[in-house]
Amino acid sequence: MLNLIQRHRDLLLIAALLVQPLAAFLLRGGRAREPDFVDRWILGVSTPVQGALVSAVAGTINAWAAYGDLRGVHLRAVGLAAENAQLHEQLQALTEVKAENERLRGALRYAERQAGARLAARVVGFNPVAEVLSLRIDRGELDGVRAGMAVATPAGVVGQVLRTGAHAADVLLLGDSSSRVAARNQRSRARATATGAGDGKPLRLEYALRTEDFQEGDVLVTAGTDGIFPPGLTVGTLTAVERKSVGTLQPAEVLPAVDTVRLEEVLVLGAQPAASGPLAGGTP
Amino acid sequence: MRVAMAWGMALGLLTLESVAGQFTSHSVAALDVTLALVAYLALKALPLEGAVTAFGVGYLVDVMSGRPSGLYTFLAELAYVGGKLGSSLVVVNTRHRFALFCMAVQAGHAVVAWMLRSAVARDPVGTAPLGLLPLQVLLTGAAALGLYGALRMLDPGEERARQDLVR
Repeated sequence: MLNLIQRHRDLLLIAALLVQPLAAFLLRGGRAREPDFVDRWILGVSTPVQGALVSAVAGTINAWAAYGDLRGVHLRAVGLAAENAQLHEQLQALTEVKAENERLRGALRYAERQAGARLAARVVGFNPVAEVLSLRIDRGELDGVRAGMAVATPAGVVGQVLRTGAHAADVLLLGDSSSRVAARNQRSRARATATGAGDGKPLRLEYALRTEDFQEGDVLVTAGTDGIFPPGLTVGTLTAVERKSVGTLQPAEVLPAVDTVRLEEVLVLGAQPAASGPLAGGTP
Repeated sequence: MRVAMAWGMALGLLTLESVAGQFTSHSVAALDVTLALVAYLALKALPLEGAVTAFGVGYLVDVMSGRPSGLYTFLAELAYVGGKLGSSLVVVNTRHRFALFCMAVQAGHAVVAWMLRSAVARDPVGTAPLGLLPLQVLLTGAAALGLYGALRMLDPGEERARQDLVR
């Protein structure tokens, strides 16, 4: 018997290893046993490792998630910055369009008030030569613009067409020293001539009789007697009126009504466009 | 065969699995990583040495399961014995054959586990646990593929064979 056991010792041990847990399982009806010292040792070894691993993995996951969030925020910030720049650009464009629209509305209202043909034109440049104060507009002969036509804005007189091209025209500004315009004091109706005095200088009031009523602050309008400018266009405001006790004239200075530096659109009075645009029209 | 190393590896794998289960899907719970170890023991270990090692591995699974009822100790031992008997019928000398071998062991392991639970349960267990069987088998096969290289470290004979090849 002992010999048999020794011969099959391994087999018996294996059978014991197989039967023991099965018997324990069945006898306890599948219920868990109370932890013994081996169980406690195993738990004591594995639990800290588990804790450390969980912390490490959780830390890595959290760090990765935080990185992802941060990256997402960064990408969103970049996207918003780009969107903001785009919107800013659009706003800028809209503001520009709005301002242009308001100017054109004003020009249109003015044009509607004025009798005769008129043509809206865009200022495309200023003459770089200092001796001649002129600007260039984008309307020319093909648009019905002719030399000598008056150019104005709702604010007042700009000048007259000096020369024309097919699609452009140069406008001599009122401030040029060769410009002349027959004017009238809007308040007293006294007549005089406003002449240019050069760049950056006010107009000069000439041929104003000393006996006429001219006061500083009076508004000067076109008299309509020079054959160029229709009556009633604002020329400027009187300043520095010299009251002399002798002589026949009283010189004065006239502050132009139109700031030609900031001009963007003008109306060419008397121009009859071949093809009617939205702002071009005939006699109302 | 290095018994202590096998137990240490089993404890490490179980610890990793328990941690992975917290951060991944619950399907990880269907994976029994130690079964590949037991299957490897069945293929490579001496009978008694492998039986003792498998017993220890099953014991660890029992403890780590939180419900040490002896079921997993028995199942590990049974898987070892079954694998030992089956290994005489098949040739397992590659990683992929080892994976297939582990999958077969896993299938038998799962069925017996279900039968034993059903036998002792007061309420009917039902066949729902068997629905996980295909997933368990696949996961165990995948784990076996990944663990094959590490498991070969348990076998000094493999090391000697590699050294001989180097010479």
